[in-house]
Amino acid sequence: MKRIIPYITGLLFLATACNSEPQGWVDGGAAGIFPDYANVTVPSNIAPTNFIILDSASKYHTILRSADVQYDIKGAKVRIPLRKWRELTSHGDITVTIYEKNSSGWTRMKPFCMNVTEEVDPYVTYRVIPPSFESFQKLSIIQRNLTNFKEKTVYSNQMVAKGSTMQCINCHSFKNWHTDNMQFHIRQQLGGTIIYSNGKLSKVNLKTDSTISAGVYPSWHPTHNYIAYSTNRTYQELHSNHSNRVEVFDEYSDLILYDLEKNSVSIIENDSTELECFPYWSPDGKSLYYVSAHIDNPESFYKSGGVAASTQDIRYNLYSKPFNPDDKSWGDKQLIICADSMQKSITLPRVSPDGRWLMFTMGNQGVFHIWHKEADLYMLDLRNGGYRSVDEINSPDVESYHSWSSNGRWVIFSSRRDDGVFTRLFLTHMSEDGHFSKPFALPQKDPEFSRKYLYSFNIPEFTVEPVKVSARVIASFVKSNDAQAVSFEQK
Amino acid sequence: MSPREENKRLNILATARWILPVALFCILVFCSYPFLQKVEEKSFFQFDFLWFKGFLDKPSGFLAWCSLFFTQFLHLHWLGALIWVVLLTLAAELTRTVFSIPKSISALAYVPVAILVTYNMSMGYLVYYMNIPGWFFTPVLGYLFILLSVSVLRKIRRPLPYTVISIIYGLAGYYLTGFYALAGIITSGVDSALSDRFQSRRSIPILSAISVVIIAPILFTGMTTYNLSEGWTIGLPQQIIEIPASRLQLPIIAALLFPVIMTFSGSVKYGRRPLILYSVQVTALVLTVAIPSAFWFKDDNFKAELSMIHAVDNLEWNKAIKIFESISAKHEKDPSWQPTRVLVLLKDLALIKTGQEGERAFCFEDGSKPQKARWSVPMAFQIGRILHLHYGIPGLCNRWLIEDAVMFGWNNMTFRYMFMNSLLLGNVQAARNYLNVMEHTLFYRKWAKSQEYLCVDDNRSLLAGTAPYDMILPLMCYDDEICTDWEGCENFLMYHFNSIRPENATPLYDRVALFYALKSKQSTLFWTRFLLYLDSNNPDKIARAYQEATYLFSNTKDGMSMPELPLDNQVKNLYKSFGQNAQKYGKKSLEESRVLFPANQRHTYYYYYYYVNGLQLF
Repeated sequence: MKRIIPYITGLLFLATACNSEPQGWVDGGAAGIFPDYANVTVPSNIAPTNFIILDSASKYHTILRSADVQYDIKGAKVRIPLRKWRELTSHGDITVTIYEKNSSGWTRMKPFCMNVTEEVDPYVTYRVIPPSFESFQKLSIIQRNLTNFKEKTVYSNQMVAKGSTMQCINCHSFKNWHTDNMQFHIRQQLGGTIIYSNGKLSKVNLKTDSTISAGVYPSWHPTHNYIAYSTNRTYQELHSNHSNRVEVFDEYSDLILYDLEKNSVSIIENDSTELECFPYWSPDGKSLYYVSAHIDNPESFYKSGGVAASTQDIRYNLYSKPFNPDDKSWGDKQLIICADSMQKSITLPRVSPDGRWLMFTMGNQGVFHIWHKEADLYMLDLRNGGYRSVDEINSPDVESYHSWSSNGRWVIFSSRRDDGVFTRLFLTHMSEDGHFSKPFALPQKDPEFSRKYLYSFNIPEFTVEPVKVSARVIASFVKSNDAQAVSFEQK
Repeated sequence: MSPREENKRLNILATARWILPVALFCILVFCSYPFLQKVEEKSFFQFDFLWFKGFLDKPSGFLAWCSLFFTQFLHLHWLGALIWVVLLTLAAELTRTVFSIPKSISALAYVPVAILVTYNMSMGYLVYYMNIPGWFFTPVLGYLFILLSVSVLRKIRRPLPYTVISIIYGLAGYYLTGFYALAGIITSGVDSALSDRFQSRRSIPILSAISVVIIAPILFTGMTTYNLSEGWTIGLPQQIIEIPASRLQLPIIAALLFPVIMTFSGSVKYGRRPLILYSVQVTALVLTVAIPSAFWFKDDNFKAELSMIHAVDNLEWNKAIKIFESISAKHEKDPSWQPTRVLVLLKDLALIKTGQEGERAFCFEDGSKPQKARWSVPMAFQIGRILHLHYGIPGLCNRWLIEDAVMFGWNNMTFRYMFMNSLLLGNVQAARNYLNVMEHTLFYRKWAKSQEYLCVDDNRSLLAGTAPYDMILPLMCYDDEICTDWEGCENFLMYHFNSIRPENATPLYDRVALFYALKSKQSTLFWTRFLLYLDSNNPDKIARAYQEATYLFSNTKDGMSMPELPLDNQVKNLYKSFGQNAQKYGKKSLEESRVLFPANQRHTYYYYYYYVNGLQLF
């Protein structure tokens, strides 16, 4: 026994030495890390914020500390085990200290903090899509569990695709952050709008003889069984020599209301001098926000090439329209922000759950801002009508689709800030006064994921619960059911 | 003939089978290397766990990953060819061993392998469409897996363990190789049922095989997100655009039927009937040569296209011109031969890049020969990226790169061009990311490292001094516009360079615009562009094609007179002699006129203007 003791002591010494903080270091500047999680605010239930150290060094040693909990990681890839991460977040803010060793010894990089605060809705659903223009092969709607790295396919076009007959799937949407009521569209093969409502699946064709197209951008009414949609005739053209690359535009667009119980659609707005789009309900369901671009003299406008010939001059303003959900009656539209007068264009209005804030995207022109590098997020205070660019979360590249968490404290948005090509998702926390914390990338198991993954993420939507119907059930339903026609309700 | 002599003769015939792989290797390396290069360029393999994991999403992904691993070696086409030939030979020899085919008729084992060779080498233009990763190596690896399945399951001699192991083996195999595992388990089932091992329970291996075939696709469809209807053929190419699955699947299935047929051979007593053995061996040898020879895709234009594209991808402009010269020379005596538009456009591009377009643009045969293909490939998918990149239209280059990547898979060339295009669009981080991907590859790592220095902010002046950007940036002097080329790259280039001249037009832009004005045959446009060209380029000597055009347009009915321009006498004399011939022959088709006019008259702008008509532009 006596013989073994020195060995055990030695091994224990080695084990502790391996994890001990480097000695004899000098202070350095801020470490380069990707994704940038330095001084961000994260929800206490988020998955580990794994990152990679970009600085060149021969050895790396990272220490994560929260109160009396400490975790050491060696190597440039900092991957934190979920259990350890939970332990760290449960103790509050986390301080991260990175040591880098080079020929002159260890350097302690400037420590940074990850502030841990209130929880975020545990699920986010997004579409995974290649950054293509016309072609698509694999499109999926995926639900990601934000508390870990698990993903679940809500629906994939591969499940019904056969040869060249492909499906485009888009615009998934949930009612009040719950999954009892959800919908998405399928275009082309076996197309229709798939609606899952209170345990029942249906497939409807929202196109009628009196409307431009089937429903496009959806918004579930918060209290009644209605969904507001835009109807759009959409085209796209390419930039010959510009990093924006594509211009997607609507030649025509209107707004419709779909009544799930009556299986009927009615017109909300179909002014021939306006291109209406992106409806979104206020939390009480008594107002519908939307954007609209004005066209002078539609007859001559369309004769001279329509929107395709003047994409640079099409700008959308923000409107609201009062609504009585009980009798489906509408009031007169009200102009909220006249972006056109500032040579700007507004898209994607989204009201916070408490009804106070309205976040929107604003670019120089057009309706499809994911292809506009200048597009940024803005916030309108609905109490006083003041609005501002949310500079603390915007970047020089695109910011576009965004959605609020159910508690109104978190926003998830899409941005191309990483490389200008692939859309990635970022989360940010809003304080009570409407200011946001530094945004952070949706954590991934492999910190290099965003640099390698050749698909974009779009339409991130929070939910408080997982989707209840399986992808296989939806696929089987899609395959075996034709889209039901809807009736058209005259005003 | 004495038995000894018979044996000797049979042995010679048995040895003759070794000629097959050697001959195949030589043909691949010396005659079909452009095709092999294209297969490699259209594939991608990187050493990255995340990327590997992506393959495990659905059954047969592992086989695709392995196939891509081998495909990357086609970068050195002789090495890739060698690996493929070795695998094919292994497949044939294992077939012989597994099914106990006597040496005297050993060539029989090469018949399915010949079908696999034919499958790959008959692709031709379909190489642009093949969107199943690693399609080139998948059939032979799948075939080997089938032989492995038969060998492994033969070792189990008792019914119960056979049932359990074959089902587990089948399910695991299905996840790894998809269809090939189902084929393997069926072959094993038939093989075992026919063997003496399960004399009283012959139905067991058959039932095990059937259960695997039924269960595996259903089980894995439930776990992953692919279409159940493809579950039984997953791992085989599926329908691509309008190309039916049968075209892509039947040859493979035909090859895989061979082992099933051979399972019945256990009962065949080969005996010592030399004439029969001799006949079988000779027939098999003839088949292994005849089948690939009959279906091997042979088209000079296709081969030249692949070689020119490869040369242009590597910025070897003079080599590209030489390839065009060489195919023109080869068909000098064949009036029915025409180059495809891809050949013509690449030749024009190479001439522009080497500054020879004014002197030599019309010194080659022109034409628009359709592709020798049942399912023709849009030019945009062949060279859209090349034309738009090198003519300074990065927006459209990006479009075709992405469309190609999404429809037919990200590949080595896509990444390379994406990198260059991102730099041109000022998207340095994206360029860096593409390089990062390339750095994980075996054969492009060095290239990627060598390009890192370009990935810096404010790199415009750096690019301006670096090929190929030095010849592209001056062409990007125009204002951005919203546009589309549909799938007509050439028509778009015509429209682009024949549109209003940009305010900041560079001398290079004027050169290219003049060239396209000549191609358009519009005299007014030519004069405008010609004067601008003279002004911005101030050439010492006016190139031959411009002299010819000047002389031609000065002499047409509504032509402008340009007496102050010094024109070579040769230009004037050629015009006269061409005019005499033109009067003599009158209006003729391109094919007819090619025989009538001597080469020196054919290779002029005059000839292009009057006789090169009705081309199908893309």
